[in-house]
Amino acid sequence: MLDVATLLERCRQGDDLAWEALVRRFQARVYAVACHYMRNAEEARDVAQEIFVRIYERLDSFHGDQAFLPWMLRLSRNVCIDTLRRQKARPRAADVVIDETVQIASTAPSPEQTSAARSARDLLYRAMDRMTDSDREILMLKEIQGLKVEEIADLLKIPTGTVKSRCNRARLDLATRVRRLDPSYGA
Amino acid sequence: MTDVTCRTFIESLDDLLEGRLGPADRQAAQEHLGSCRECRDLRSLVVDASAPVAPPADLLGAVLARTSGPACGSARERLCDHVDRLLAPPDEDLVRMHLDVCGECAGLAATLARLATDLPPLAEMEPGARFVPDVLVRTSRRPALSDAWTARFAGVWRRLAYRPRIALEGAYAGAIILVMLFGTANAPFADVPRRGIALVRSAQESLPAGAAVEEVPRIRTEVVSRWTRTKAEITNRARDLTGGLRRGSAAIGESLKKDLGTVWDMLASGESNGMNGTAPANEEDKGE
Repeated sequence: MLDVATLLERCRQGDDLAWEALVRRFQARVYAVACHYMRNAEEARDVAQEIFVRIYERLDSFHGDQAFLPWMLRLSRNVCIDTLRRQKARPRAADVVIDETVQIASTAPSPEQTSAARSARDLLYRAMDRMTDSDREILMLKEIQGLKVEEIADLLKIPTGTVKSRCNRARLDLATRVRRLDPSYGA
Repeated sequence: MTDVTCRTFIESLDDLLEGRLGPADRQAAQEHLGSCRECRDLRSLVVDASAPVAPPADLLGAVLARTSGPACGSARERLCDHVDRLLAPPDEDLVRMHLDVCGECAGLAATLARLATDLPPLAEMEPGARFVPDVLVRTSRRPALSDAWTARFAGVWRRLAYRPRIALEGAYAGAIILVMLFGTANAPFADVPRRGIALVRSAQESLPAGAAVEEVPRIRTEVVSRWTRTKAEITNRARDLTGGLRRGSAAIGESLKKDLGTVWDMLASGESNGMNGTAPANEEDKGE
């Protein structure tokens, strides 16, 4: 499998195959980010497309010495926030949890495991749905997307200490909510 | 220690109870216990006090309530670091001891530990089979500059066309253009309508009603010849107009070029002076 740097270099040279491979590699991640911000599967799909179009247009502005994932997540976040701002007049889709067509990308070998993973995922979505936007965002960036504290601080323009404390607070909040919904979770 | 008095017995009581006395001393101490009731009572008291007694279940809670309050807040501040194994050893021990006695915090810690494994898989979601083809359609080739401008122009035009009063605005703009072309005394085609009306009138006056059929070819010829003359006049006037505009713009361009050349020369001479060291003389003067 080609590494990301090679793919990006080929994309910049206009290699359509490389671009297709790049989209395939990151589509699930970009779509997940869009889902976390938009909280509606259909809108998230449109926004994810828009994110890739934006990435395509800005490939030349990406420097090889920086990490691609934080750059991509920053761009994704900007597109999502722009879209949400444009939609501000529309009612928030708070009650629409990710629909049934959404599937976890990891392959589950048995139906029992698939079912367990899905129920755990639904439980987490329900718990996260009631969190504040900022807590959900920092949880998504740190615990779900796995960005480093410094990268999140750079992205959100806040000190690293604030990132740590906010993240710990969000984790505790999520754990409390999850236990309230399902006291047997984690036991 | 063979001659055991009460004082020496008390001093050696700990050793006696913990089995550290030698056989002779133990024998002497037992003999003293048999003869001294006070020392027997003392021994019984010490033995009873050192026996393990379970404290009341609510003692810890009651003490904390009257002193520092419950420690759950402090424990939860360190719970994430405990799960991530980032705590220093003393803090780690303290949190563990708290978790041993606090079911609620222990449950939270277990939940946090499971979240650490359940959250990362949420980083990816399959958007569906049509997603990649749709993205590729939108990004299949880099748009050329002309395409971008065409798209932008089309977008602007579409937005204009969707305006609710586009027809009214179009009619307004058209009327202004007609007035500018034909409606004022100085308009380039001001006499065209008048000439057209005069042509029709002269044709009506010069032609009897019955002879219209025979006169049609002549009228046609007349109309064509007059139209040709009018057209030539219009062309001449338009040429004069464009020539005048071109000459005017050329003159403006020349003067602009001359002004720019002057400025450029001034700049160039100033720079060369600066490089040659002549200009800083003023600066030095100022400095002095």
